[in-house]
Amino acid sequence: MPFPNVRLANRPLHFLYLCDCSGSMAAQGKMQALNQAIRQSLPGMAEVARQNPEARVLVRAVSFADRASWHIAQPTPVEQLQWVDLQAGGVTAMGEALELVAAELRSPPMEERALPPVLVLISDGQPTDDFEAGLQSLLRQPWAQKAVRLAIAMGHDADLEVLQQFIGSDPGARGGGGLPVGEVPGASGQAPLHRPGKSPRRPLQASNATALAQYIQWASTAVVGAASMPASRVAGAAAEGNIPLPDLPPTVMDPTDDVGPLVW
Amino acid sequence: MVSSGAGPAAAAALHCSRIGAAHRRQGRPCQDFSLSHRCRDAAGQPVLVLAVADGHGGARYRRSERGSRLACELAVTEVARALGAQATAADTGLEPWRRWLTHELPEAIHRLWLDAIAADWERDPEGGNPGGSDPGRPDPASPAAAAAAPEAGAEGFSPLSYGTTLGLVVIGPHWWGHTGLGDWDLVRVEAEGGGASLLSEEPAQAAGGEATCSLCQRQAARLFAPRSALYPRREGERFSLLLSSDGIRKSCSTDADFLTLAAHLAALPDDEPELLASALDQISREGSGDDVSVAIAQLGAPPPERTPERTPGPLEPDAHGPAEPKPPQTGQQRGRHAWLLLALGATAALGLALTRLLPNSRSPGPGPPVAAAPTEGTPPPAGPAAAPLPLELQAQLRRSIAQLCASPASIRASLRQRQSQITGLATGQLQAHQLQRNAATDPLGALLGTAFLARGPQEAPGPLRALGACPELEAGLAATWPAGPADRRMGPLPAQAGPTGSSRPTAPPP
Repeated sequence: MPFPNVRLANRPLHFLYLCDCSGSMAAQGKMQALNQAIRQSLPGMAEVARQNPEARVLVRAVSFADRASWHIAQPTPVEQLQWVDLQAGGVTAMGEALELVAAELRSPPMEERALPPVLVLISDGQPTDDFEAGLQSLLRQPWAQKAVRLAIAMGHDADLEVLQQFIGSDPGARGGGGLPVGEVPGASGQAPLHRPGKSPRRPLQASNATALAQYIQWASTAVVGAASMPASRVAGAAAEGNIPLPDLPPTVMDPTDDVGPLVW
Repeated sequence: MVSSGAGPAAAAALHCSRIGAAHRRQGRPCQDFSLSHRCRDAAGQPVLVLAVADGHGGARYRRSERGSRLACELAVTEVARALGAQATAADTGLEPWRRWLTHELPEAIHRLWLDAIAADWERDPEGGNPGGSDPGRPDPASPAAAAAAPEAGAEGFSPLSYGTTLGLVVIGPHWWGHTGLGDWDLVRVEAEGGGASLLSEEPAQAAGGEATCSLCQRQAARLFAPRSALYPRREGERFSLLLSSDGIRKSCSTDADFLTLAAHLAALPDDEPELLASALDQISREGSGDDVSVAIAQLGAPPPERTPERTPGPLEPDAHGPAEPKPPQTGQQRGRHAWLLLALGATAALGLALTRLLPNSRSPGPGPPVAAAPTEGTPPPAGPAAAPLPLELQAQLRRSIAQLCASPASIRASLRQRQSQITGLATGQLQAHQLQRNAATDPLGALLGTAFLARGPQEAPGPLRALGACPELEAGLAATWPAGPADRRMGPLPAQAGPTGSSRPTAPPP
């Protein structure tokens, strides 16, 4: 009996960058560093996708400045992706960017059988529009709730509180509420989910191009690899997050690591 | 009590679990398990049990392959024990069996599973497998095994380590039913190309994403109810049931592909199990990469013993059943209750005679899952000629209908959001009148309740049309609880995998 004519397919894994392109990103080479970091991460991401054929990694990107717009509107297989540089200029319409993403996380167009999406928000400042409304709109979408939401703060002017709101509370922290925003992990004695001093469920602070590149590389390879593997879990086990996240790369937050000078 | 003889409960059965392509590449074990098992009830009638379990994949569920195996084995053993103590004869009615499948069996399975995993931990706290009886485990030299070993010794016992789903189908001579928890799927395939339909899936609101309900949850026994239903068997009915782990459905581009695939798997010859194994390997390889499991039964003609012409419908009082008959009973108990069964038989006969006299009694055709009988004080079930609805309720319904019909394309999606209410109504966990009473706060729920009461053959326009229902809404509601050969849920919705072998049903020695 021949195998029927049915479409078997790997599961889509949507990876979305939300990139701050406000005017401040033009300073100190931040925009250039972000473009460089994303471009350099693509071969690694493509390799992870090749190693996990059960997932189809599809990349999109939203840029936000005065307005938010799709930088890469079509879900693009990572191996076909050509990164066109982002340009800085304007204010920080972060809320609108979240609205844009929310519209795409509806089902449809999202496939019911998709893997949890990965959303990476990168910013160096504070939102200038209605961030709360955008976040609410985003989190109303079940796929946003299932998503792995990561945030990278470029420099010390980034609004960590806003970025933590985007990620959600750190479920691995004792008490479930995570560390107070801005507190050095470990200072209060609260235990993060992963290695002491680090948690991917808090904003990742990149103080220079090297650290930024490491975080981008981590998100696009280790996280994509973890999200590609179908690993079921118990409903309501909040401490696990939507996927078990891999350890973070070494950064300047870990005093034992030396990854470059404090620039931003 | 347990026999290897194949009887008319099901003509054929097959089960198979295969390690997923991704797990094979990563050196991880197959965390799925499946079983099919033949036994006999106390009256010697054949019973077939199908079980599929999917151990969770995360690192903290490091013994989930044991959890899934224990879940299947304990479930079929408990079913065989319980049915071996009581006949599944039709004259006991269906409602007691529905309660057993929904409440008593899940509680027994959960309790037995917790005891078994605790014993497993005590026997083997280091996670080793000295007996070599765990074929789902990876090569001890593999990276996954190396990573898991130290962790196993570092932490104490937790049911989480054994977390697993469980899907169960029990097929007796007069009824068949399903129960379980987690993200398994159950498909009914009609004989001779009659099409396939999704009978049961995990409600989206129960979990979502890769999260699923699990036996390791404290309230696990209660989580079986939404996945439980009981169906009467009908003379001449021929169909197959395919119970699958979520790896199958998640490998298919669309649910239409899944149903086509299910029909193909259900039609595979049971004397060539290697065909099934090969198909499952292909599915995982070209699809989700997850472990994959199926258990299949082909249901043929009912047993020679004549079944009653009519069994209780979804809204009818269970005239046949005793008040609280516990399915598992000893022979002595059965003797003491023989008089009661005789009386119940007479009551059933009287009930049948009465229902034939009623003008709106439904024709005997195949029926939907048995729902709880209406409780005293609630209005009688409404059919097409039901009493008028209260004006206030009508107004609420009109508003809800207008809202839904303003966006016909969104009607099915809106109804899908109410899967728990739909399932609750179908299984009797939820009363339609209760939903109607809450119309002010939940008009869509009231609409569902009203539609549930009005369902059935609809030669004449239903009450919802009179309230302005558009054809799309009528079609959507009709597809929710069709009156056809099988009670089907709403249209296809989207949905994982013993070790790496396929086999025919187990039949322990008598």
